[in-house]
Order: sequence, then C-alpha cells, then structure tokens
Amino acid sequence: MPGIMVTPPVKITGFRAYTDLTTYQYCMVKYQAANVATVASANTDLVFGVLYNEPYTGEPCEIVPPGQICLMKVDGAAGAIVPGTRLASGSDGRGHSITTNVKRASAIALDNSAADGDIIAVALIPSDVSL
Amino acid sequence: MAGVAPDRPPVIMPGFVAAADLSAKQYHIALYSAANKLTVASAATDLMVGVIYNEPYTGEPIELVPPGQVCLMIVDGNAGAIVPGTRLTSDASGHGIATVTNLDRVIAIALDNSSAAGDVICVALIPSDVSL
Repeated sequence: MPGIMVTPPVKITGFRAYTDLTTYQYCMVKYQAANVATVASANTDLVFGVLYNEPYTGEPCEIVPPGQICLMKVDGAAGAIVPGTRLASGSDGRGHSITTNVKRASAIALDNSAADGDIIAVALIPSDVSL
Repeated sequence: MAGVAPDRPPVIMPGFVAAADLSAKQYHIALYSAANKLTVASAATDLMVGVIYNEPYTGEPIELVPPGQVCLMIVDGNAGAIVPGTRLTSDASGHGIATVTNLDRVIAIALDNSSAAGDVICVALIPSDVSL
C-alpha cells in the first residue's frame, strides 16, 4: 500500500450487500435496488461511493459517499495512476485511470499506483464527469 | 424518511441570519439573499450555498450545512425518481429534485431513494456550479 494516508471519512449506513462483498473492501459501489448496493463493474457505472467494510450477502454496508477523502483499491497496472489521475471503475470495482470521453470518473487519485490491488488515497467526486 | 444516514453530524456553518421566516424550511436548500442573509432557493439555476438545518424566524441565526458535507435534505421524488447517484437541484420550494438539464446548478448527489414529495433523505452536498 502506498504511503499517503487519510483521516477516517464520513460513512453512510442503510444499505445492505446485494451479493457477497467480503472481498470488495475499498472498491466502488453502485445502486442495485432500494437500500441495496453492489460492486461497480464498468467505467460507465453511476458510482455513489466506496465500500469500507466486508459484508456478506444481506449484511450492512459501510459506504463512503462523494466529497470525502478515503482509500480505494486500484489497478495501476492497467494504466499508470499518479496524483490527479481520474479514476473510473473496472470490472471488479477497482479504480482504473481513464482518459476516454463519456466514462464516469468517480475519484481523483491522491497517490501513485503501478500495480493491480494497490490501496491508495483518493478524493471521491460526483460520478458524472466526462473527460 | 428513508433509512440511509451519515455516521456523524455534518459541519454547521454559522454567520448567516434568515432573510425571511424560515421556521418551516428545515432541510431546505439555501440561497444567498444579502450580506450575511440567506433565504430558500427557488429555481434550478439558483446559486445554492447549502442546506438549512434549523428553523429560524426572520433575523434569527441560520445553521447552514455547506458543500462538502453529507446531510439530510427534503426532496420531491415525485417530480422525477431519485436513486443513489442522482444529481439534485432546487425546485420552486427549495426541495431537491432530480435534474439532467443543461445549465441547471447541481447542489447535491442523492444517497438514498425517493419517489414522493416531502421525503427527507441523505445527500452529499457539492459546489453548486456544475453544468450537465
């Protein structure tokens, strides 16, 4: 894990896991149904936060919403990530760098990554910014 | 009120007073009125500054939640479905409504569902200057 740290962010409660999300801590999440969240799976997904715990199916999710500084699992091997890089979701909810129009950037990287599975500090933004 | 909630209270910004009777406007979207005075937003193009968190009468101090915070907002999900991720602007009454209209000013991202007028839901406030 790179070295930029963050203070504990605000989290929202009230959502439950649509599926087993025990391996998706620090991954991006999207709306599935009323009060149900699941992991994001595409760079066009409307992401509304980052999962901060490890819930099994039906268990409560701890989600960090837009506007917060938090940790995110990223894949810097898919494209170099440096502070300022815009991040959208990969197929597994991990942050990937994007430079392509009509993708939904959901975070700004605050640290470097060149490997898949790095957990870095990011600033979450509203998931609707085309490049 | 739906069930999504932040895990801590939002930052409250002091220094403003109510430009009108806002005693029935808790959780409504706030708009600059004059120096140190706020009123309720009334249009999607208003330059919104946050959410009113108390119930002040004219001239009384306002508890304002500024952008960057996670807080509660009264919305009208009947005007257009609201789900987590929906961009919200103000209607004529200072209620949050969904928008996909160019040049509307977005003040918040919904973090919960609403399909009815008067719902109070959890939102993430953002700077009110984002074109769609």
